[in-house]
Amino acid sequence: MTSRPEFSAQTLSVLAALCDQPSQWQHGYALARQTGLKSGTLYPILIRLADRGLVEACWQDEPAPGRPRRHLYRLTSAGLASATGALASAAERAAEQEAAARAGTGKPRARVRPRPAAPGTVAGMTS
Amino acid sequence: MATAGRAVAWLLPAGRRDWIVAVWAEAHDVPPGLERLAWRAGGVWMLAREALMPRRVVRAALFAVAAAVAAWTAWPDSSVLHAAADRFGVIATVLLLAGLPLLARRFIGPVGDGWAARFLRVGGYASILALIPARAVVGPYPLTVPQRGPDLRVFVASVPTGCPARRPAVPPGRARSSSWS
Repeated sequence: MTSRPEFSAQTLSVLAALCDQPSQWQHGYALARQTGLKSGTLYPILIRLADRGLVEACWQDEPAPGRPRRHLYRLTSAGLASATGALASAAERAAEQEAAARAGTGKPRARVRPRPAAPGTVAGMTS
Repeated sequence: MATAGRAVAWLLPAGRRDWIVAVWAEAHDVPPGLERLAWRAGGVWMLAREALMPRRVVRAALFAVAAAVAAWTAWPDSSVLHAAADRFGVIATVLLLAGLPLLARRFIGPVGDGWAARFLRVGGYASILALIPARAVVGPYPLTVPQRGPDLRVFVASVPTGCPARRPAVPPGRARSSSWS
């Protein structure tokens, strides 16, 4: 039996998006586009991750003219380690479930045409 | 709108104010139209969640009130036969309902996403809490037909996880007890 999931699927998708470029600061709209999450879901997740010290946030130094400063996010070193582990576990669980589903039905599953993975997605999981 | 964001930010605790301002500021980079409107609506939703929130506290308070009402309604009088056992049953059921989500979260993980899992959990809790006083009313009249359906306790155990319960293995021919306690 695998260990319990530490993060929800939505949180994992946010972690995956942040893991893509761990050293780069990313803004909320880019994360929303990558994960497909609405702002009302994305920001509470970012808040919880920041509360746990997994994500750090800062305000943009030089905003574009006529635009307000943007809030930027990236993983902390603890966040990167935690995200890497959680994403690996999620991929492992997805593979196990896939194998169990195949063994349970006893029939080969219909072939699904592989699609190019969107950046920030987790193997075997939709965001 | 950024000004509006700052204006309503006071509704939030100090450590959260930056976040609502951030949502409002980010809206400038969202394509105008429905998408931007949806983005701002998400900000309002977040504001409501964070301001009114501690949802956990609200949920726990609602459960505590409902459980107290159910227990008070079903609390057996001292003159009733097996009053102590029935009282134990009421207390045990309430404690089970209160503790199961914590255990389930620890060992299985958060409740499943989607309305079905949440509906199962809320509906299950409401059903069990409604059954506590209902059983107190029906209790004095013994059931003559042995129950053959899935054990209620298994249903209770499945509620916190939002997972469908499996029918438990029971030795054939063995009638279930009609009492929980």
